[in-house]
Amino acid sequence: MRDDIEKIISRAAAEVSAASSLAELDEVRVRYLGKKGKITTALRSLGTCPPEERPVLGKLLNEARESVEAMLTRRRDEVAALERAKALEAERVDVTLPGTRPPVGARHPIRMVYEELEEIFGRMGFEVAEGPDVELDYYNFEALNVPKNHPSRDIQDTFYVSDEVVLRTHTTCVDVRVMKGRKPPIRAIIPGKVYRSDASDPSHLPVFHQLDGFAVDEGITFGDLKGTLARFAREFFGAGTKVRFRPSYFPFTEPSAEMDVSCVICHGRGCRVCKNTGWLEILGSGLFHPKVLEAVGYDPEKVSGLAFGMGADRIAMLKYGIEDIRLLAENDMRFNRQFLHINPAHILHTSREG
Amino acid sequence: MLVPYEWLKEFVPGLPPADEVARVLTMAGVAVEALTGEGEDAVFDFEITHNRPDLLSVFGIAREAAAVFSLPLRHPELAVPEEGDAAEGMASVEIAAPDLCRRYIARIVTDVKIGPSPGWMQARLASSGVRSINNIVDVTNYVMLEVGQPLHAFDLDLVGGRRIVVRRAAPGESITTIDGEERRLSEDMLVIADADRPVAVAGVMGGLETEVSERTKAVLLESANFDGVSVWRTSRALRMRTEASSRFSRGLWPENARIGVDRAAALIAAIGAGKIARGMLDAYPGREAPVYVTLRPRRVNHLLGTDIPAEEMKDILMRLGFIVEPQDGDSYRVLVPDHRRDVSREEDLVEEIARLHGYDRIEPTLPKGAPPEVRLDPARQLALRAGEILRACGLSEVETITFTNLEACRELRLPEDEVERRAVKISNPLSSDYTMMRTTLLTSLLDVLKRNAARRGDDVAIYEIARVYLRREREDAPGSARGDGLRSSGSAGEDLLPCEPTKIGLAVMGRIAEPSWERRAADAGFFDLKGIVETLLEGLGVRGARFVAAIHPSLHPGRTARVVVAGDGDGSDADIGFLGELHPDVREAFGLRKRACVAELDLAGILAAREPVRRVKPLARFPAVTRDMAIVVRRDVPSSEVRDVMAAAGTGLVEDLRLFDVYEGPQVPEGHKSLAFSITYRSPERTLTDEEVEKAHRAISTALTEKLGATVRE
Ligand SMILES: [Zn+2]
Repeated sequence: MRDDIEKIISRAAAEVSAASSLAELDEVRVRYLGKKGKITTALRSLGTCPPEERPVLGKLLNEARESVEAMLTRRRDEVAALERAKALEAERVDVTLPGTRPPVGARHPIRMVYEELEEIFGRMGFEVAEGPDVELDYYNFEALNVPKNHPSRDIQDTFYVSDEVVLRTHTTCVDVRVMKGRKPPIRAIIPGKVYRSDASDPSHLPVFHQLDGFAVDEGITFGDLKGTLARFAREFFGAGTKVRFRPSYFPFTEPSAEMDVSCVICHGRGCRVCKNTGWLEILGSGLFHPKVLEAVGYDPEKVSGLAFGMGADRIAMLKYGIEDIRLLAENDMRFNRQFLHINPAHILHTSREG
Repeated sequence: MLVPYEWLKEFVPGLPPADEVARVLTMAGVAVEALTGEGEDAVFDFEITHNRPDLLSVFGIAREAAAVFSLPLRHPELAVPEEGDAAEGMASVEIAAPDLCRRYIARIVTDVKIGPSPGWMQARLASSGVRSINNIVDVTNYVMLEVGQPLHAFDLDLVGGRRIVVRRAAPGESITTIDGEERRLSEDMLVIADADRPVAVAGVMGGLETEVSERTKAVLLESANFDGVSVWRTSRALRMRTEASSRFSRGLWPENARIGVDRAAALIAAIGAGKIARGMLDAYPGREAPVYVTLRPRRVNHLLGTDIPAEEMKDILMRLGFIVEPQDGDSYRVLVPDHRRDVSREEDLVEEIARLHGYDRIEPTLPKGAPPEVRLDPARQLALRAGEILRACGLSEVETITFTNLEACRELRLPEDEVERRAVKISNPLSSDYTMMRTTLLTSLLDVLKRNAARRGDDVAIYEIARVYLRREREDAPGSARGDGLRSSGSAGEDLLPCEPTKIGLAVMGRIAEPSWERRAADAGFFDLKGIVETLLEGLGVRGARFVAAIHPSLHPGRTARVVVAGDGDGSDADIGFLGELHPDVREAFGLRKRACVAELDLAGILAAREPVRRVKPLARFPAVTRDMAIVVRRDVPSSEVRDVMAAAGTGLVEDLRLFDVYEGPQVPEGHKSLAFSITYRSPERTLTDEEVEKAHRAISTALTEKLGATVRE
C-alpha cells in the first residue's frame, strides 16, 4: 500500500506537469482527487486495511492529497500565465499603423504671430488696443503730421470711402485714438488689418497686417526705444539675434529709425533672403513727433514717446519660411493645416534684459 | 537714384572705397539700396527718404558724405564767362502767380550750335541711367543730376513775344508736351506761357512747340522754384511723373535755382555749345526769411538717453552746414542752411545729432518706472477662447481678405437693396473683385470653400473670428455698436464711420475628421455644425441658447436656425446668430461638390449672454431610475417642444432627457416621426419608489398625448 501511494504521487506529478491547459489540468484533478479519483478511492478503501496500519496510511494519503493539490495549484498558475500570454500574443497590433486622431484645427500663422507678439510685449507692460479699419482721414493722416493734399501721401496709396474716410493705411492711427482719451503713462500695442492699393504679388496684398506699438511717459528716450525693440527681436527671433538701427524718415516720428535684425536664415553670412547683406529690415520706429503729441493734447516738453510699427505678414513669412504672402490670404487647407503645432509663445522664453 | 562713385569723388576727393562709403552712409540715414561695379567704376543706388530733397543729386550726396566723413567738400564750377549783349534786352520774365512760383531765373544762350555732347558727359549720364539727346538738353539733365535743380531749355525764337509769364492756366487751355501728348489744363495748374499760349507745364514738362531742335539758334534757359504741392497735384492730375516733377514735389529751395542756371551756363560755354549773354532775368518774389532753431544740448541728451558733449553737437551741426551761435543760458541759436528746409524744430536737430553721432553708439535701455497696469479687453479674451474651442472641435482658423463685391453677394442670394444700403463701398477700388467691405463673413468663408474645392479640396472645416463692416444707419448712434473697437464717441466725424462688429464665422464642408484605416469618417451635416455651435456656446459660458427654425437667403429653407439667448436682463430674447446648410443654388454658384453648413455668431452678443462664473451642482446622493419612452408625433412638431412638454409634466423628478433615436419610415404613419427618449428620474431628497416613477412616467405620457397628439409606445 505504501508503495502504491508513492506511485500515485509520482504518476500524478508527471501528469500535472504534462498538462498544458486548464482543461487538461482539471482532468488530472478529477483523476486523482475527484469522487472516483485514485486518492479519494484509496482513502475510502482504508477501512479494508488492518486497523493498526490505518492511522499511518491515512496520514500518508492525506499528505499525498495535499501534495497533489499543491502541484495542481502551482501548475494552474503556470498554465494560466501561459494561456494569458497566448491570448495577448493573438491580440498583438502593428504599432506602426497610423493612430486615429481626433479632429483638431490649425492656427493661422498671422494669429500665431500676433499672439506671440502680445505675449512678448505684454510681459513688458504693453496692453493690446484696437481701432476701426475704416478710419477718418484725420486719424490716419492729419493727426500723424501728414497734411491733406501733401506730396508725402504719395508714399502710401490709399483706398478712399469718401473725402473724409479711408481704409487705414497703418495701425498707427490707433496710437492717436488711445492717447487722445488718456493720460500718460501708456504702453500699448495695436494689431490689425491695414489697406493699401497695391496689386497682389508675392510680396504685396491690398489687405495685410501690422503691429504698431508705443509707450508714452515722462523721460522716454531713444535708448528705451532701442532696448525695447532689441528685447523683442531676441525673444521673437532667438537669443542670438543682433539688431541695428538706421536713421530713416516717418512723418510722425523724429528722430526716426529703421530696425534691421541679423538674418534669421543665414545668421549674417549673406543669403538670398537678406540679399547678401546679412540683415533683414523688420520695422520702422522713432520718438513721437512733437506735432503728434500736441495733436493729442500732450506737452512735448514734458512727455515723450517711443513708437514702432511692423508688418505681421512679413515677420510670419521670415519666421516660418513662407515665400509668397498670398499664401497667408488664400487659406488653402494644404497650407493652413501645416500650423497644427503649438504657438512658440506658449513656451516660456528665457529673457535677458538690455 | 544712381550715382557713380567717381562723380561723387570729384566733390569729395578723400572718400574711402565705395563699399565703405555705402556702409557708412546707410548707417547715417542715406540708404544705399545697391552697389554695382568695382573700384572706381562702382555705382551707388540710393534710396532717398521723402524729407531730404537736398540729397537728390550727386553734389547733395557729396555734401552729406563730406559731413559724415568729416572731409573737405569741393563745389561745382559756377563761374560763367558772359559775353555779348545783356540778357535783359533779349527777353522778359513775369511771375503772375507768386504764390506758386517763388523764383524764376532765365539766362539767354546765343550762337547755339546743337550737336552731340562730349563723351565724358554722355558717359556720366549713361551711368546715371539718362539717355543722351543733344548738347543743350544733355547739359540740363547733367545739371539736374549734379546739383538737383531741374532746368528747361526753350528755343527762344519760338517763344512768342520773347516773353515768359508764369501764371495759372486759363480756362480751356491745352498744351502738347514734348512726349507728343495733348494735355488739357485746368485753372489750378501752373504754366509757363509766352505772349500767347502755354509753353510748359511748370515743373512737370515742356511744350513740344518751343522744344530745342537742330535749327535752334538761341536758348532761354529756365531755372525756377515752383510750389511742391502745386506741381504734385498737377502731375497727378495729368498722370505725368517726371524727374523734374518728383523733385519739385518734394520741395526745392529758391537758392538752388541760381546754382543750377549758373552751372548750366558754365558748362554750355565750356563745351562750346553756345555763348552766354550778360546777366540774367531773375524774378524773385518769394525770398525766404532765414530759419533759426534753438538747440538745448541738455534736451538733446534727455530725449536720446545720451551724454553727448555740447561741443560734439556743435561740431556735427557745423559739418552739416548749420551755423551755431551761443545764446543765453545753455542754449544755442542755430541757423538752418538753405538746402535743409526739412529742419524747423529742435527735434529735427536731435535727429541730425543722433545720426551723425551714430545710432549704434546710443546705449539700449528699457523704459524706467513701473509699467502701467495692462488692461485686457474682454471681447478679445473671449475671441481667443472661442478659437481654442473651435480648433479642439476640428475647425482650422482662416484669415481672409475683408473685401467683397456685389457679384459675390448676388451668388450668396443676399438681398441687393440691403447690401447696397449697408455695405461700405471703396471709391477707388483696385479691381472689380474688391469693390466693397464685407457685410457678413459668409462671403469670405465661401470664398475659401470655393478656392479649396477648385483645388480638389472637398473637406474643409474652418472658422474665422473677424469683423464685418456695416454702414451706420440713423438708429445706430456713433460708438454704440458693441464690439466696435476703440472710439472716442462724440468727436468730430465719428458718425461717418461704419459699425465694425466682430463675428465668429464657421463653415464645414465634407469630412471634419481625417479619414482613418480603422474607421471611416462621414461628411458633416447640419447637426455636426450645430453640435459645434453648442459646444462653443457651452464652452464660452452661454447657457440656454435656443435654436429656432428660420429663413436665411443663403441657406436651405428647411435647414436653417436662428440662435436665440435670453436678453440682457430685460426679459426679451436676443438673436446672437444663425446656422444652416447652404442653399443648393449657392452651393452650385460657388462650385462646391459637397454639401456645406455655415454659421455666423455675434461676439458681442455672446459676451453679453454669458454667465461670468458657473457654480457647481452638488453630486446626486440618491439613485436614479432610467426608463425609455418612444412616441410618434407629427413631423412638424419640433423636438424642443416635445422636450418642454416632457420636462414640465415630469413633476420635478426628471433629471435628464436624452433623445436617442429619430425615425421616419414604414413603421410610422405618413407625415409623422418617431422619437425615442431615455428619461432619467431622480429626487435630490430620497430614493424614488417604483410607484413614484411610474406615476411620473404616466404623467409625461398623458401630457404628450393631450398637448401634442402624440402616440406613446412603451
Ligand atoms: Zn541671410
